Amino acid sequence: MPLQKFVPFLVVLIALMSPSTALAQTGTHAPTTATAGTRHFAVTLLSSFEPIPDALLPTNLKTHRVYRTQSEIFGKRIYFVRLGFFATAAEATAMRDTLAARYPGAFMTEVTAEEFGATTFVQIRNGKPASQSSTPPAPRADLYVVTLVVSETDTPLPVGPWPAKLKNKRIYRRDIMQNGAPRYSLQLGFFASAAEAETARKLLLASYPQAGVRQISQQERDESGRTVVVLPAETAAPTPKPAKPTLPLTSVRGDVESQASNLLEQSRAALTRGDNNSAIQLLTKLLQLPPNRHSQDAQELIGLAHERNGEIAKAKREYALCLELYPDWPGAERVRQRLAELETAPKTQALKAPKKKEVSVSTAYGGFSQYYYRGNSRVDSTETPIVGPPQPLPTLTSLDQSALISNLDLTGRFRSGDYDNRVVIRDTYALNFLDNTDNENRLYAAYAEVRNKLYDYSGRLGRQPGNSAGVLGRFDGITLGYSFLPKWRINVVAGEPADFNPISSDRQFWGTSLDLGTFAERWNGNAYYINQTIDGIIDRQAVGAELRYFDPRSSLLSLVDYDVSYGVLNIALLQGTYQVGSKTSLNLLIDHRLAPVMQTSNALINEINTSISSFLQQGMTEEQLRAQAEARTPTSDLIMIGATHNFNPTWQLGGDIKRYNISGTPANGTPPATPLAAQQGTGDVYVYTLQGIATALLTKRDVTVLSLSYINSDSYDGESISINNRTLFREKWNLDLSLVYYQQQDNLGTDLTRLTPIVRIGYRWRDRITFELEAGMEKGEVTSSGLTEDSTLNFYMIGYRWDF
Amino acid sequence: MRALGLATCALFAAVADAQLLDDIEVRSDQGVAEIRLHFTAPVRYIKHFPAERGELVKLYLQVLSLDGAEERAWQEYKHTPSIPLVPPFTVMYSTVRTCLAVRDPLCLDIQFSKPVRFRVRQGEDGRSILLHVLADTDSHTPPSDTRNKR
Repeated sequence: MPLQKFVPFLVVLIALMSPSTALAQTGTHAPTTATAGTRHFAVTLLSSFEPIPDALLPTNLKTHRVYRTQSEIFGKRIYFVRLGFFATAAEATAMRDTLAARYPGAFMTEVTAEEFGATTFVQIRNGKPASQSSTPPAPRADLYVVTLVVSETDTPLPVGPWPAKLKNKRIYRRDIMQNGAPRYSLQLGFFASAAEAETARKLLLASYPQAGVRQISQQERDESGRTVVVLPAETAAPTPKPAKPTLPLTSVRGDVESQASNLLEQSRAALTRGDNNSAIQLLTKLLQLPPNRHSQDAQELIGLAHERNGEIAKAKREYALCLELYPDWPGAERVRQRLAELETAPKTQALKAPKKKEVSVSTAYGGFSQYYYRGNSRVDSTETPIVGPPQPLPTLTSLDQSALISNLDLTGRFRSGDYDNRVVIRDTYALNFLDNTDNENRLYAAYAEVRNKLYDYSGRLGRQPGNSAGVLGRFDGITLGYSFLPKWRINVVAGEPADFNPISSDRQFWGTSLDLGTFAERWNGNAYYINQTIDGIIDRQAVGAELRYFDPRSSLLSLVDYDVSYGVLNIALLQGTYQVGSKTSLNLLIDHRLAPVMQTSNALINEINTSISSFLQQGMTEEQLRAQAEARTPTSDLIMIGATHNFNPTWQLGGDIKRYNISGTPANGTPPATPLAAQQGTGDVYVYTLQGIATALLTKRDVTVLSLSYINSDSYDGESISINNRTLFREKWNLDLSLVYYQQQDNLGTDLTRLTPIVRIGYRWRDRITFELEAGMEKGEVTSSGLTEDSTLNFYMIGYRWDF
Repeated sequence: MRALGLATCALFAAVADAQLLDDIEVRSDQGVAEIRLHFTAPVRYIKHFPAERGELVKLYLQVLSLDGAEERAWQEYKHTPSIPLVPPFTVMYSTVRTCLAVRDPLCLDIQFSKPVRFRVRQGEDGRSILLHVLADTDSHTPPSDTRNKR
């Protein structure tokens, strides 16, 4: 189906994007937080992924308080040092400007009431207070705790039973880096003396045999309020009853999560059908549960339900509460926008329900580039007869490439309320200057996409990338997805491949897939079915699945694709990474596949006739074509293991060992196509690679990569060495130097050497435009019995890129 | 001869091939940026350098597409709109075989306009890479504190 057919659909789809999108104004932003109560501002001086050492704290900022704090942002714990407090954003901004020379990364922050209330002085290493604020230091408190459990891999959860006499104590999480490795622990506090803490520890020995007592700092006590771990009420045992088995806390928590998940799902459904009152009832039930993973969503949605019900005052209260309770939640910005809309809307309008969302953002970004490529080659050959002197052969010279390549990459993004929509166009045009070479345009993407975050559905129409859910590559078509349950999403896809290959047959496909997860915070995956036809017969009919695992230290991805029509395993893939300590990582890949994956269209490999239907008309049966496809599809097996170690901030060393094997194929090609001789399999090929990377080796702003490889196989051995250096200089310039040397000897006595130097220079002009120039050469020599060839290839490139 | 021919093809490769970098999504909160590089095919994270701070981040990946037959752009740039508190950056990738000795290598250079501190990990969907970025402020330690440093 030609792409032009999609144009009307694209127009309609864009028009159907959320009504408010049509009113979108570029660069409109919501005002900053307007929560109930007094607002407080601070200047964030330092931020870090790890606790900030005392040595980095300022000692001479006398007029304001310097304090530490931390937040969970995008799933990462971030540590801050702030200077506060200021009554207005303008005052804080002025202070930031004053400190800009010393703290160029400083920025103004609006802090929560909790942070304002909890902040105490930061003590520098010599014990003197960091500032002379008029606020008195907090009174000394109980500073003994019981460390219940420590883990290096995961945040531990409380396990029961829980003694009643400790139910008023605080359990909190403490995450630290120790010797470069993370340590997650649960702490119980606070106790006035070590003896009191020891008594508590003994009470908990059955559940926490490794528990210990330690003294903590005032700061840890102050900050513990941010990482409180709440025990479900049912788990607190009023009196010890050893004979009665107690449910582990983790199970109770699981029930809470499950219950919350169901309530959230039902409330979303109620909102969808406009039943705001039912949604409010359901969300109220959810919010009465112990804190859980859905509490934040529920707090936002109950505000939304009230807003849609016309209960603006209640909506504002709920939004404000959401921001107070979860100021660092990723959805907080959206809630701020909602609240800001209600705060700024005229009261008469606010009483009408529901109102349209007016805050919207439209952006367009991408790039346009034009590069001219030119390449020429020269080959000098000398024939060496068995008897007699060497005979030079005529020199061959040719212009191999002369083309201007223009590339457009344009993304328009329209965000409004719950909608996040995109239009994407990517196109490349090659203007060829060589004789007998056609110009070529390739449209890689031209699609419109609609995403609704509230109801979690999406649609994409047009030319788009595939490579998921069994779709092999780029296609023209439609993709639809809907999350019918919080962790379950169904997708359907239909279209035809758009892979620029010369196949002239009609191919269409449809498929469906189910996305699952994330479960247990670490597992997700999908399962799919796809059916593709070519000229009316089965091309590919496959089922497949992906299973993925992620945790802070490791990841695992497995993929299986099985063709039910051919009864063959297309792909079985397993890849994983594992972080050992903070400096070493390991990786593994096991990959078995048919390359390309089994399709009836593989019967066209090495054929001039690129139509399945014409083969059928010439008398070939479908079975014969399928047999031909199977014969022409080689199998590839690969296993690879590697390791990387960071010796220090400037040097990294890595190595890997790889073994691969690609099977052979029989002679093929039907006249008038040139018959292709049978291809031998590669046998087992081993590749050993060592790679070192260094920074600031030659200059302060350079990165150098050095690689050594050795290849060993039944038919040839090869070695390569390469060095690449990228240097940034004078702010807007960069220079890339690369040198590759390769040599190879095969069983037939042919020796090959190749030396490839390349230089590339770039200059950025006015931040948006980059000019680039590249020149390279490849000097090669091939020596076999009776013939020596010296070749020189030259390559040039010049162009510009405009980022917008 | 066969190897020489392959090298020639690589050197003169046209840029008019399939693009791998689908989109770059950036969001920021409290001076922390989350950069998600979306790819058009499954990718495998192998390593990155430097470990956690720098101006140029080199990222080494492998493409694990379903259809290994498709030709890919051997070089591509991507730029995103500027985000408050996040230094502007450009992503350039290369798929030439010399960048990494694996099948279907994907080597990315993420060039920030100033030094940053970062963490890198594979995305949960198998088709993205996540970077968490903070402005690098350590190099600007307050002068009054330098006496405490060893």
